[in-house]
Amino acid sequence: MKRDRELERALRDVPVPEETEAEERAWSVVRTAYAERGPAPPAHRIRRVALAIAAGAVALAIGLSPAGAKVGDLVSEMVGVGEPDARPALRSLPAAGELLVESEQGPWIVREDGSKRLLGDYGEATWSPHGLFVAVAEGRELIAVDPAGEVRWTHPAPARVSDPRWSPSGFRIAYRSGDDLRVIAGDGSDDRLVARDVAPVAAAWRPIGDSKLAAAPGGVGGHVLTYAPGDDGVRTVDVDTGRRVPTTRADRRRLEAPVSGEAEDRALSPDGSQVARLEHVGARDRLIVTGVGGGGSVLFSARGRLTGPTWSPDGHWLLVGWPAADQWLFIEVDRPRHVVPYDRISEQFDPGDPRGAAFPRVSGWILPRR
Amino acid sequence: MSAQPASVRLARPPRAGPLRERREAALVRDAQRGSSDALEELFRRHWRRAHRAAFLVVGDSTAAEDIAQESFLAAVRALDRFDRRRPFGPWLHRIAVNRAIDFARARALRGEASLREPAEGVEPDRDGLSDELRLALLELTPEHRAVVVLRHLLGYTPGQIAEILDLPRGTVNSRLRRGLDRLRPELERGAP
Repeated sequence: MKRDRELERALRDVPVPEETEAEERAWSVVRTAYAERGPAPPAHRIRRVALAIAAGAVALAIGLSPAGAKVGDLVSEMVGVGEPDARPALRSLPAAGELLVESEQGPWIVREDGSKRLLGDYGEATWSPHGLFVAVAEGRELIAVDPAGEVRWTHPAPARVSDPRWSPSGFRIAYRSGDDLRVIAGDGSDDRLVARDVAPVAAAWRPIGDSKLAAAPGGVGGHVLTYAPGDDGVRTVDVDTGRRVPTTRADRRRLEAPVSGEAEDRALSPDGSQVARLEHVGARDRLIVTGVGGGGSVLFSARGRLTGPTWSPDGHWLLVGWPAADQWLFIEVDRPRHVVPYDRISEQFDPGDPRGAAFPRVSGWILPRR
Repeated sequence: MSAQPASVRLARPPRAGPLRERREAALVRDAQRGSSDALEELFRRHWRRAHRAAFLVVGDSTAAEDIAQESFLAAVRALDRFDRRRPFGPWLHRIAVNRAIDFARARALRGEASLREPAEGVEPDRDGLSDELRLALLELTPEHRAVVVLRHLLGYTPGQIAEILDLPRGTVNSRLRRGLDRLRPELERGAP
Protein backbone atom coordinates (compact mmCIF):
# COMPACT_ATOMS: atom_id res chain seq x y z
CA MET A 1 0.00 0.00 0.00
CA LYS A 2 2.82 2.35 0.86
CA ARG A 3 4.47 1.59 -2.45
CA ASP A 4 1.15 2.27 -4.19
CA ARG A 5 0.92 5.70 -2.57
CA GLU A 6 4.52 6.48 -3.49
CA LEU A 7 3.85 5.52 -7.07
CA GLU A 8 0.72 7.62 -7.19
CA ARG A 9 2.57 10.61 -5.79
CA ALA A 10 5.48 10.09 -8.15
CA LEU A 11 3.23 9.88 -11.21
CA ARG A 12 1.42 13.03 -10.16
CA ASP A 13 4.78 14.79 -9.67
CA VAL A 14 6.44 13.81 -12.94
CA PRO A 15 7.08 17.18 -14.59
CA VAL A 16 5.25 17.63 -17.89
CA PRO A 17 6.96 20.24 -20.07
CA GLU A 18 4.83 23.32 -20.81
CA GLU A 19 1.87 21.87 -18.98
CA THR A 20 0.08 25.18 -18.47
CA GLU A 21 0.86 26.50 -21.94
CA ALA A 22 -0.36 23.26 -23.50
CA GLU A 23 -3.62 23.56 -21.60
CA GLU A 24 -4.25 27.07 -22.90
CA ARG A 25 -3.32 26.13 -26.47
CA ALA A 26 -5.62 23.13 -26.34
CA TRP A 27 -8.49 25.09 -24.84
CA SER A 28 -8.22 27.62 -27.63
CA VAL A 29 -8.50 24.86 -30.24
CA VAL A 30 -11.29 23.00 -28.45
CA ARG A 31 -13.28 26.19 -27.89
CA THR A 32 -13.01 27.05 -31.59
CA ALA A 33 -14.09 23.57 -32.63
CA TYR A 34 -17.02 23.75 -30.23
CA ALA A 35 -18.09 27.14 -31.59
CA GLU A 36 -17.91 25.84 -35.17
CA ARG A 37 -19.87 22.64 -34.60
CA GLY A 38 -23.20 24.41 -35.19
CA PRO A 39 -26.34 24.30 -33.11
CA ALA A 40 -26.99 21.01 -31.44
CA PRO A 41 -30.04 19.15 -32.75
CA PRO A 42 -32.70 18.70 -30.09
CA ALA A 43 -32.21 15.45 -28.23
CA HIS A 44 -35.73 14.25 -28.96
CA ARG A 45 -35.04 14.59 -32.69
CA ILE A 46 -31.93 12.42 -32.47
CA ARG A 47 -33.86 9.87 -30.50
CA ARG A 48 -36.70 9.95 -33.00
CA VAL A 49 -34.32 9.41 -35.93
CA ALA A 50 -32.57 6.56 -34.13
CA LEU A 51 -35.88 4.97 -33.24
CA ALA A 52 -37.08 5.36 -36.83
CA ILE A 53 -33.94 3.66 -38.11
CA ALA A 54 -34.22 0.87 -35.57
CA ALA A 55 -37.93 0.48 -36.26
CA GLY A 56 -37.26 0.33 -39.99
CA ALA A 57 -34.64 -2.33 -39.46
CA VAL A 58 -36.96 -4.32 -37.25
CA ALA A 59 -39.81 -3.97 -39.73
CA LEU A 60 -37.54 -5.18 -42.50
CA ALA A 61 -36.41 -8.10 -40.39
CA ILE A 62 -39.99 -8.99 -39.65
CA GLY A 63 -40.76 -8.87 -43.33
CA LEU A 64 -37.88 -11.18 -44.11
CA SER A 65 -38.16 -13.51 -41.19
CA PRO A 66 -39.76 -16.92 -41.28
CA ALA A 67 -43.43 -17.11 -40.46
CA GLY A 68 -44.10 -17.49 -36.79
CA ALA A 69 -41.04 -15.64 -35.56
CA LYS A 70 -41.73 -13.75 -32.40
CA VAL A 71 -41.55 -9.99 -32.62
CA GLY A 72 -40.06 -9.85 -29.14
CA ASP A 73 -37.14 -11.98 -30.24
CA LEU A 74 -36.50 -9.76 -33.22
CA VAL A 75 -36.43 -6.61 -31.16
CA SER A 76 -34.10 -8.08 -28.61
CA GLU A 77 -31.75 -9.42 -31.24
CA MET A 78 -31.55 -6.22 -33.26
CA VAL A 79 -31.26 -3.82 -30.38
CA GLY A 80 -28.59 -1.23 -30.96
CA VAL A 81 -28.69 -1.29 -34.76
CA GLY A 82 -28.33 2.29 -35.89
CA GLU A 83 -28.27 3.67 -32.36
CA PRO A 84 -25.37 5.63 -30.93
CA ASP A 85 -23.33 3.69 -28.36
CA ALA A 86 -24.74 0.35 -29.54
CA ARG A 87 -21.59 -1.17 -28.17
CA PRO A 88 -18.83 1.10 -27.00
CA ALA A 89 -16.05 -0.78 -28.73
CA LEU A 90 -15.38 -3.79 -30.86
CA ARG A 91 -15.16 -6.51 -28.22
CA SER A 92 -15.11 -9.69 -30.24
CA LEU A 93 -15.88 -11.09 -33.66
CA PRO A 94 -18.95 -13.32 -33.92
CA ALA A 95 -17.00 -15.96 -35.85
CA ALA A 96 -13.47 -17.28 -35.77
CA GLY A 97 -10.76 -15.47 -37.70
CA GLU A 98 -9.00 -12.14 -37.95
CA LEU A 99 -9.88 -8.99 -39.85
CA LEU A 100 -7.56 -6.86 -41.90
CA VAL A 101 -8.83 -3.28 -41.85
CA GLU A 102 -7.55 -0.31 -43.86
CA SER A 103 -7.80 3.09 -42.22
CA GLU A 104 -6.32 6.53 -42.74
CA GLN A 105 -3.63 5.59 -40.23
CA GLY A 106 -2.77 2.38 -42.02
CA PRO A 107 -3.84 -1.27 -41.92
CA TRP A 108 -4.95 -2.88 -38.66
CA ILE A 109 -5.33 -6.50 -37.68
CA VAL A 110 -8.36 -7.20 -35.50
CA ARG A 111 -8.22 -10.45 -33.61
CA GLU A 112 -11.18 -12.60 -32.65
CA ASP A 113 -11.21 -11.18 -29.11
CA GLY A 114 -11.53 -7.65 -30.51
CA SER A 115 -7.95 -6.61 -29.75
CA LYS A 116 -6.28 -4.83 -32.61
CA ARG A 117 -2.87 -3.83 -33.85
CA LEU A 118 -1.81 -1.09 -36.22
CA LEU A 119 0.71 -2.50 -38.70
CA GLY A 120 2.20 0.83 -39.68
CA ASP A 121 1.77 3.85 -41.88
CA TYR A 122 0.91 1.98 -45.09
CA GLY A 123 -1.75 2.08 -47.80
CA GLU A 124 -3.63 -0.90 -49.23
CA ALA A 125 -3.15 -4.27 -47.55
CA THR A 126 -3.91 -7.92 -48.29
CA TRP A 127 -3.59 -11.10 -46.25
CA SER A 128 -1.36 -13.96 -47.24
CA PRO A 129 -3.56 -17.07 -47.56
CA HIS A 130 -2.84 -18.38 -44.08
CA GLY A 131 -2.54 -15.05 -42.33
CA LEU A 132 1.19 -15.41 -41.79
CA PHE A 133 1.94 -12.13 -43.58
CA VAL A 134 0.31 -9.03 -44.94
CA ALA A 135 1.39 -7.43 -48.21
CA VAL A 136 1.04 -3.66 -48.11
CA ALA A 137 1.45 -0.93 -50.68
CA GLU A 138 3.18 2.29 -49.82
CA GLY A 139 3.89 4.63 -52.70
CA ARG A 140 6.22 2.80 -55.08
CA GLU A 141 6.99 0.07 -52.60
CA LEU A 142 5.45 -3.33 -52.05
CA ILE A 143 6.17 -4.47 -48.51
CA ALA A 144 5.56 -7.73 -46.65
CA VAL A 145 5.02 -7.44 -42.92
CA ASP A 146 4.15 -10.07 -40.35
CA PRO A 147 1.09 -9.71 -38.10
CA ALA A 148 3.26 -8.07 -35.44
CA GLY A 149 4.04 -5.32 -37.93
CA GLU A 150 7.65 -6.35 -38.50
CA VAL A 151 8.82 -5.70 -42.06
CA ARG A 152 10.00 -8.92 -43.74
CA TRP A 153 10.94 -7.48 -47.11
CA THR A 154 10.51 -4.39 -49.23
CA HIS A 155 10.39 -4.27 -53.00
CA PRO A 156 10.76 -1.00 -54.93
CA ALA A 157 8.40 -1.12 -57.93
CA PRO A 158 8.72 0.96 -61.13
CA ALA A 159 5.59 3.00 -60.35
CA ARG A 160 2.96 3.46 -57.68
CA VAL A 161 1.83 0.11 -56.22
CA SER A 162 -1.85 -0.78 -55.90
CA ASP A 163 -4.16 -3.78 -55.53
CA PRO A 164 -1.70 -6.35 -54.15
CA ARG A 165 -3.22 -9.84 -54.10
CA TRP A 166 -1.52 -12.86 -52.56
CA SER A 167 -1.92 -16.13 -54.49
CA PRO A 168 -3.74 -19.00 -52.73
CA SER A 169 -0.45 -20.94 -52.61
CA GLY A 170 1.27 -18.08 -50.81
CA PHE A 171 4.19 -18.18 -53.26
CA ARG A 172 3.19 -15.27 -55.53
CA ILE A 173 1.80 -11.77 -55.14
CA ALA A 174 0.12 -9.98 -58.04
CA TYR A 175 0.02 -6.20 -57.97
CA ARG A 176 -0.39 -3.22 -60.23
CA SER A 177 2.49 -0.82 -60.64
CA GLY A 178 1.15 2.22 -62.42
CA ASP A 179 -0.76 0.73 -65.37
CA ASP A 180 1.25 -2.51 -65.39
CA LEU A 181 0.31 -5.83 -63.87
CA ARG A 182 3.27 -7.51 -62.19
CA VAL A 183 3.88 -10.64 -60.12
CA ILE A 184 6.54 -11.16 -57.48
CA ALA A 185 7.48 -14.26 -55.47
CA GLY A 186 6.20 -14.42 -51.89
CA ASP A 187 9.71 -13.86 -50.55
CA GLY A 188 10.10 -10.60 -52.46
CA SER A 189 12.25 -12.02 -55.26
CA ASP A 190 11.73 -12.60 -58.98
CA ASP A 191 9.55 -9.61 -59.82
CA ARG A 192 8.24 -9.78 -63.37
CA LEU A 193 5.90 -8.01 -65.74
CA VAL A 194 2.70 -9.84 -66.65
CA ALA A 195 0.90 -7.24 -68.80
CA ARG A 196 1.05 -3.57 -69.68
CA ASP A 197 -1.80 -1.05 -69.72
CA VAL A 198 -4.27 -3.09 -67.71
CA ALA A 199 -7.58 -1.72 -66.44
CA PRO A 200 -7.56 -0.34 -62.90
CA VAL A 201 -9.06 -3.54 -61.51
CA ALA A 202 -7.41 -5.94 -59.07
CA ALA A 203 -6.38 -9.23 -60.65
CA ALA A 204 -7.89 -12.45 -59.27
CA TRP A 205 -6.07 -15.73 -58.58
CA ARG A 206 -7.62 -19.05 -59.47
CA PRO A 207 -7.91 -21.28 -56.36
CA ILE A 208 -5.39 -24.12 -56.23
CA GLY A 209 -8.09 -26.80 -56.51
CA ASP A 210 -9.54 -25.16 -59.60
CA SER A 211 -6.08 -24.91 -61.17
CA LYS A 212 -5.60 -28.64 -60.83
CA LEU A 213 -9.05 -29.33 -62.22
CA ALA A 214 -8.37 -27.12 -65.18
CA ALA A 215 -4.92 -28.55 -65.78
CA ALA A 216 -4.35 -29.22 -69.43
CA PRO A 217 -2.04 -31.93 -70.74
CA GLY A 218 0.49 -29.21 -71.40
CA GLY A 219 0.35 -28.45 -67.68
CA VAL A 220 -1.24 -25.50 -65.98
CA GLY A 221 0.49 -24.65 -62.74
CA GLY A 222 -0.89 -23.43 -59.47
CA HIS A 223 -0.52 -19.75 -60.29
CA VAL A 224 -3.26 -18.83 -62.70
CA LEU A 225 -4.23 -15.21 -62.76
CA THR A 226 -7.23 -13.48 -64.34
CA TYR A 227 -7.07 -9.77 -65.12
CA ALA A 228 -8.79 -7.08 -67.14
CA PRO A 229 -6.64 -5.79 -70.03
CA GLY A 230 -7.02 -2.15 -70.90
CA ASP A 231 -8.58 -3.01 -74.26
CA ASP A 232 -11.66 -4.57 -72.67
CA GLY A 233 -12.40 -8.21 -72.03
CA VAL A 234 -10.88 -10.62 -69.55
CA ARG A 235 -7.63 -12.54 -69.89
CA THR A 236 -6.19 -15.45 -67.89
CA VAL A 237 -2.53 -16.48 -67.75
CA ASP A 238 -0.37 -19.03 -66.03
CA VAL A 239 2.12 -16.57 -64.58
CA ASP A 240 4.84 -19.20 -64.13
CA THR A 241 4.96 -20.06 -67.83
CA GLY A 242 3.54 -16.84 -69.23
CA ARG A 243 1.04 -18.81 -71.33
CA ARG A 244 -2.52 -17.70 -71.81
CA VAL A 245 -5.15 -20.18 -70.65
CA PRO A 246 -8.90 -20.19 -71.31
CA THR A 247 -10.90 -18.03 -68.97
CA THR A 248 -13.55 -20.03 -67.15
CA ARG A 249 -16.85 -18.66 -65.92
CA ALA A 250 -15.53 -19.03 -62.39
CA ASP A 251 -12.43 -16.97 -63.28
CA ARG A 252 -14.66 -14.23 -64.64
CA ARG A 253 -16.87 -14.37 -61.55
CA ARG A 254 -13.84 -14.05 -59.26
CA LEU A 255 -12.64 -11.00 -61.16
CA GLU A 256 -16.08 -9.38 -60.99
CA ALA A 257 -16.87 -10.43 -57.40
CA PRO A 258 -13.55 -11.11 -55.77
CA VAL A 259 -13.06 -12.91 -52.51
CA SER A 260 -14.33 -11.20 -49.44
CA GLY A 261 -13.18 -7.70 -48.76
CA GLU A 262 -11.40 -7.15 -52.05
CA ALA A 263 -14.21 -5.28 -53.82
CA GLU A 264 -16.16 -2.22 -52.87
CA ASP A 265 -19.65 -3.63 -53.11
CA ARG A 266 -19.63 -7.39 -53.65
CA ALA A 267 -17.93 -10.49 -52.34
CA LEU A 268 -17.85 -14.16 -53.20
CA SER A 269 -18.48 -16.51 -50.28
CA PRO A 270 -15.51 -18.64 -49.13
CA ASP A 271 -16.95 -21.76 -50.77
CA GLY A 272 -17.72 -19.84 -53.96
CA SER A 273 -21.42 -20.71 -53.88
CA GLN A 274 -22.90 -17.30 -53.06
CA VAL A 275 -22.30 -13.66 -53.83
CA ALA A 276 -23.11 -10.90 -51.37
CA ARG A 277 -23.64 -7.54 -53.01
CA LEU A 278 -24.85 -4.09 -52.17
CA GLU A 279 -27.60 -2.49 -54.19
CA HIS A 280 -28.39 1.22 -54.10
CA VAL A 281 -32.11 1.95 -54.25
CA GLY A 282 -32.80 5.64 -53.87
CA ALA A 283 -31.54 6.78 -50.52
CA ARG A 284 -31.26 3.24 -49.21
CA ASP A 285 -28.69 0.49 -49.59
CA ARG A 286 -29.63 -3.18 -49.55
CA LEU A 287 -27.44 -6.16 -48.80
CA ILE A 288 -28.44 -9.01 -51.10
CA VAL A 289 -27.13 -12.56 -51.16
CA THR A 290 -27.53 -14.53 -54.36
CA GLY A 291 -26.62 -18.07 -55.29
CA VAL A 292 -24.29 -18.59 -58.23
CA GLY A 293 -27.23 -19.93 -60.20
CA GLY A 294 -29.36 -16.84 -59.54
CA GLY A 295 -32.13 -15.98 -57.12
CA GLY A 296 -31.41 -14.09 -53.97
CA SER A 297 -32.71 -12.46 -50.87
CA VAL A 298 -32.32 -9.14 -49.11
CA LEU A 299 -30.55 -9.63 -45.81
CA PHE A 300 -30.50 -6.05 -44.62
CA SER A 301 -31.54 -2.59 -45.72
CA ALA A 302 -30.62 0.79 -44.32
CA ARG A 303 -30.90 4.46 -45.13
CA GLY A 304 -27.56 5.70 -46.46
CA ARG A 305 -24.56 3.91 -47.86
CA LEU A 306 -23.41 0.48 -46.75
CA THR A 307 -19.82 -0.66 -47.33
CA GLY A 308 -18.18 -4.03 -47.69
CA PRO A 309 -19.51 -6.71 -47.60
CA THR A 310 -17.06 -9.21 -46.11
CA TRP A 311 -17.74 -12.89 -45.45
CA SER A 312 -16.56 -14.66 -42.31
CA PRO A 313 -14.19 -17.56 -43.05
CA ASP A 314 -16.93 -20.08 -42.18
CA GLY A 315 -19.39 -18.34 -44.52
CA HIS A 316 -22.02 -17.91 -41.79
CA TRP A 317 -21.64 -14.17 -41.21
CA LEU A 318 -21.43 -11.04 -43.32
CA LEU A 319 -19.81 -7.85 -42.11
CA VAL A 320 -21.06 -4.61 -43.63
CA GLY A 321 -20.10 -1.07 -42.71
CA TRP A 322 -22.72 1.61 -42.19
CA PRO A 323 -20.81 4.92 -42.21
CA ALA A 324 -23.88 7.09 -41.53
CA ALA A 325 -24.36 5.33 -38.21
CA ASP A 326 -20.60 4.84 -37.77
CA GLN A 327 -21.30 1.16 -37.20
CA TRP A 328 -20.17 -2.25 -38.31
CA LEU A 329 -22.99 -4.75 -38.58
CA PHE A 330 -22.32 -8.47 -38.32
CA ILE A 331 -25.28 -10.21 -39.96
CA GLU A 332 -25.86 -13.93 -39.62
CA VAL A 333 -26.55 -15.14 -43.14
CA ASP A 334 -28.94 -17.95 -42.22
CA ARG A 335 -30.68 -15.86 -39.56
CA PRO A 336 -30.66 -12.32 -41.00
CA ARG A 337 -32.64 -10.87 -38.13
CA HIS A 338 -29.63 -11.63 -35.96
CA VAL A 339 -27.52 -8.50 -36.36
CA VAL A 340 -24.65 -7.65 -34.05
CA PRO A 341 -23.82 -3.92 -34.26
CA TYR A 342 -20.63 -2.23 -33.11
CA ASP A 343 -20.52 1.53 -32.75
CA ARG A 344 -17.92 4.29 -33.10
CA ILE A 345 -15.94 2.40 -35.69
CA SER A 346 -14.19 5.42 -37.26
CA GLU A 347 -12.79 6.60 -33.98
CA GLN A 348 -11.46 3.15 -33.12
CA PHE A 349 -9.46 2.85 -36.32
CA ASP A 350 -8.41 6.44 -36.79
CA PRO A 351 -7.45 7.77 -33.41
CA GLY A 352 -5.84 11.15 -33.37
CA ASP A 353 -7.06 12.49 -36.70
CA PRO A 354 -7.89 16.14 -36.04
CA ARG A 355 -9.86 16.36 -39.32
CA GLY A 356 -12.31 13.76 -38.10
CA ALA A 357 -11.92 10.06 -38.42
CA ALA A 358 -12.61 8.41 -41.77
CA PHE A 359 -14.69 5.24 -41.96
CA PRO A 360 -12.36 2.25 -42.28
CA ARG A 361 -12.51 -0.41 -44.99
CA VAL A 362 -12.35 -4.13 -44.25
CA SER A 363 -10.00 -5.79 -46.70
CA GLY A 364 -10.20 -9.37 -45.49
CA TRP A 365 -11.44 -11.80 -42.84
CA ILE A 366 -9.44 -15.00 -42.67
CA LEU A 367 -8.76 -17.91 -40.37
CA PRO A 368 -5.03 -17.74 -39.69
CA ARG A 369 -2.99 -20.95 -39.56
CA ARG A 370 -0.01 -19.80 -37.55
CA MET B 1 6.95 28.45 -17.56
CA SER B 2 5.69 27.39 -14.20
CA ALA B 3 7.84 25.84 -11.53
CA GLN B 4 4.92 24.98 -9.32
CA PRO B 5 4.84 21.30 -8.41
CA ALA B 6 2.42 19.61 -10.74
CA SER B 7 0.65 17.74 -7.98
CA VAL B 8 -0.58 20.99 -6.46
CA ARG B 9 -2.40 22.00 -9.61
CA LEU B 10 -3.79 18.61 -10.54
CA ALA B 11 -7.42 17.95 -9.98
CA ARG B 12 -8.13 15.32 -7.37
CA PRO B 13 -8.58 11.71 -8.44
CA PRO B 14 -12.09 10.85 -9.61
CA ARG B 15 -14.63 10.25 -6.89
CA ALA B 16 -17.68 8.20 -7.50
CA GLY B 17 -20.00 10.33 -5.37
CA PRO B 18 -23.45 10.92 -6.81
CA LEU B 19 -23.17 14.68 -6.29
CA ARG B 20 -20.09 14.89 -8.47
CA GLU B 21 -21.71 12.70 -11.11
CA ARG B 22 -24.86 14.80 -11.09
CA ARG B 23 -22.88 17.97 -11.45
CA GLU B 24 -20.89 16.50 -14.28
CA ALA B 25 -24.04 15.23 -15.99
CA ALA B 26 -25.46 18.74 -15.74
CA LEU B 27 -22.31 20.17 -17.27
CA VAL B 28 -22.50 17.70 -20.14
CA ARG B 29 -26.17 18.54 -20.64
CA ASP B 30 -25.41 22.27 -20.70
CA ALA B 31 -22.49 21.75 -23.07
CA GLN B 32 -24.76 19.72 -25.34
CA ARG B 33 -27.16 22.65 -25.33
CA GLY B 34 -24.45 25.07 -26.40
CA SER B 35 -22.95 26.43 -23.17
CA SER B 36 -19.26 27.09 -23.74
CA ASP B 37 -18.88 27.81 -20.03
CA ALA B 38 -20.02 24.29 -19.26
CA LEU B 39 -17.63 22.92 -21.84
CA GLU B 40 -14.78 24.93 -20.37
CA GLU B 41 -15.55 23.60 -16.91
CA LEU B 42 -15.44 20.05 -18.27
CA PHE B 43 -12.21 20.84 -20.09
CA ARG B 44 -10.54 22.34 -17.02
CA ARG B 45 -11.63 19.45 -14.85
CA HIS B 46 -10.20 16.81 -17.12
CA TRP B 47 -7.44 18.32 -19.25
CA ARG B 48 -4.49 17.96 -16.93
CA ARG B 49 -5.14 14.38 -16.03
CA ALA B 50 -5.74 13.36 -19.64
CA HIS B 51 -2.64 15.27 -20.78
CA ARG B 52 -0.47 13.78 -18.04
CA ALA B 53 -1.77 10.28 -18.72
CA ALA B 54 -0.95 10.64 -22.42
CA PHE B 55 2.51 12.01 -21.58
CA LEU B 56 3.30 9.08 -19.30
CA VAL B 57 2.19 6.58 -21.97
CA VAL B 58 3.96 8.14 -24.97
CA GLY B 59 6.90 9.84 -23.20
CA ASP B 60 6.76 12.83 -25.52
CA SER B 61 5.18 16.09 -24.46
CA THR B 62 4.40 17.31 -27.98
CA ALA B 63 2.65 14.07 -28.88
CA ALA B 64 0.89 14.04 -25.52
CA GLU B 65 -0.46 17.52 -26.12
CA ASP B 66 -1.71 16.46 -29.56
CA ILE B 67 -3.28 13.29 -28.21
CA ALA B 68 -5.04 15.01 -25.32
CA GLN B 69 -6.20 17.83 -27.56
CA GLU B 70 -7.50 15.44 -30.20
CA SER B 71 -9.26 13.43 -27.53
CA PHE B 72 -11.12 16.54 -26.45
CA LEU B 73 -11.91 17.37 -30.06
CA ALA B 74 -13.27 13.85 -30.53
CA ALA B 75 -15.33 14.35 -27.39
CA VAL B 76 -16.69 17.63 -28.74
CA ARG B 77 -17.58 15.97 -32.05
CA ALA B 78 -19.41 13.17 -30.25
CA LEU B 79 -20.90 15.36 -27.54
CA ASP B 80 -24.40 15.44 -28.98
CA ARG B 81 -24.77 11.70 -28.79
CA PHE B 82 -23.05 11.23 -25.46
CA ASP B 83 -25.20 9.41 -22.93
CA ARG B 84 -25.35 11.71 -19.90
CA ARG B 85 -25.99 8.79 -17.58
CA ARG B 86 -22.39 7.78 -18.14
CA PRO B 87 -19.52 9.59 -16.44
CA PHE B 88 -17.57 11.92 -18.70
CA GLY B 89 -14.08 11.22 -17.29
CA PRO B 90 -13.79 7.51 -18.12
CA TRP B 91 -15.17 8.22 -21.59
CA LEU B 92 -12.50 10.84 -22.20
CA HIS B 93 -9.76 8.75 -20.59
CA ARG B 94 -10.72 5.81 -22.77
CA ILE B 95 -10.21 7.92 -25.86
CA ALA B 96 -6.97 9.54 -24.65
CA VAL B 97 -5.27 6.42 -23.32
CA ASN B 98 -6.20 4.26 -26.28
CA ARG B 99 -4.92 6.94 -28.64
CA ALA B 100 -1.73 7.17 -26.65
CA ILE B 101 -1.25 3.41 -26.87
CA ASP B 102 -1.86 3.47 -30.62
CA PHE B 103 0.56 6.36 -31.06
CA ALA B 104 3.27 4.63 -29.05
CA ARG B 105 2.76 1.38 -30.95
CA ALA B 106 2.81 3.14 -34.30
CA ARG B 107 6.02 4.91 -33.41
CA ALA B 108 7.60 1.68 -32.28
CA LEU B 109 6.56 0.09 -35.57
CA ARG B 110 8.16 2.91 -37.49
CA GLY B 111 11.35 2.16 -35.60
CA GLU B 112 11.55 5.50 -33.86
CA ALA B 113 13.23 5.51 -30.53
CA SER B 114 11.25 6.58 -27.51
CA LEU B 115 11.68 10.22 -26.83
CA ARG B 116 13.12 10.61 -23.43
CA GLU B 117 13.10 14.32 -23.36
CA PRO B 118 14.17 16.14 -20.28
CA ALA B 119 11.45 18.14 -18.65
CA GLU B 120 12.86 21.48 -19.72
CA GLY B 121 11.66 24.55 -17.97
CA VAL B 122 10.31 22.64 -15.03
CA GLU B 123 11.97 22.59 -11.67
CA PRO B 124 13.42 19.17 -10.94
CA ASP B 125 11.57 17.09 -8.41
CA ARG B 126 12.94 17.39 -4.92
CA ASP B 127 14.31 13.88 -4.78
CA GLY B 128 14.67 13.23 -8.49
CA LEU B 129 12.41 10.19 -8.18
CA SER B 130 9.74 11.32 -10.59
CA ASP B 131 11.92 11.71 -13.65
CA GLU B 132 13.73 8.45 -13.00
CA LEU B 133 10.40 6.80 -12.53
CA ARG B 134 9.23 8.24 -15.83
CA LEU B 135 12.26 6.78 -17.57
CA ALA B 136 11.65 3.42 -15.91
CA LEU B 137 8.05 3.64 -17.04
CA LEU B 138 9.25 4.11 -20.62
CA GLU B 139 11.03 0.77 -20.41
CA LEU B 140 7.62 -0.89 -20.25
CA THR B 141 5.51 -1.56 -23.33
CA PRO B 142 2.81 1.04 -24.08
CA GLU B 143 0.16 -1.46 -23.00
CA HIS B 144 1.80 -1.97 -19.60
CA ARG B 145 2.37 1.76 -19.16
CA ALA B 146 -1.28 2.45 -19.87
CA VAL B 147 -2.45 0.02 -17.22
CA VAL B 148 -0.10 1.48 -14.62
CA VAL B 149 -1.16 5.03 -15.48
CA LEU B 150 -4.87 4.21 -15.40
CA ARG B 151 -4.48 2.52 -12.02
CA HIS B 152 -2.01 4.77 -10.24
CA LEU B 153 -2.50 8.17 -11.83
CA LEU B 154 -6.17 8.14 -12.76
CA GLY B 155 -7.28 5.89 -9.92
CA TYR B 156 -9.33 3.32 -11.78
CA THR B 157 -9.90 -0.16 -10.42
CA PRO B 158 -8.66 -3.16 -12.42
CA GLY B 159 -12.27 -3.87 -13.42
CA GLN B 160 -12.72 -0.35 -14.72
CA ILE B 161 -9.38 -0.54 -16.55
CA ALA B 162 -10.48 -3.77 -18.19
CA GLU B 163 -13.57 -1.92 -19.38
CA ILE B 164 -11.62 1.10 -20.63
CA LEU B 165 -9.03 -0.92 -22.53
CA ASP B 166 -11.35 -3.74 -23.60
CA LEU B 167 -9.16 -6.30 -21.93
CA PRO B 168 -9.88 -9.31 -19.74
CA ARG B 169 -9.48 -8.44 -16.08
CA GLY B 170 -6.79 -11.10 -15.67
CA THR B 171 -4.71 -9.40 -18.35
CA VAL B 172 -5.03 -6.09 -16.53
CA ASN B 173 -3.92 -7.69 -13.27
CA SER B 174 -0.92 -9.39 -14.85
CA ARG B 175 0.13 -6.20 -16.65
CA LEU B 176 -0.17 -4.27 -13.41
CA ARG B 177 1.91 -6.83 -11.57
CA ARG B 178 4.62 -6.89 -14.23
CA GLY B 179 4.66 -3.13 -14.46
CA LEU B 180 5.01 -2.68 -10.74
CA ASP B 181 7.74 -5.31 -10.56
CA ARG B 182 9.69 -3.27 -13.07
CA LEU B 183 9.10 0.03 -11.27
CA ARG B 184 9.76 -1.27 -7.77
CA PRO B 185 13.56 -0.69 -7.80
CA GLU B 186 13.00 2.97 -8.68
CA LEU B 187 10.43 3.34 -5.93
CA GLU B 188 12.72 1.69 -3.38
CA ARG B 189 15.60 3.89 -4.46
CA GLY B 190 13.47 6.93 -3.77
CA ALA B 191 12.14 5.66 -0.44
CA PRO B 192 13.49 7.33 2.71
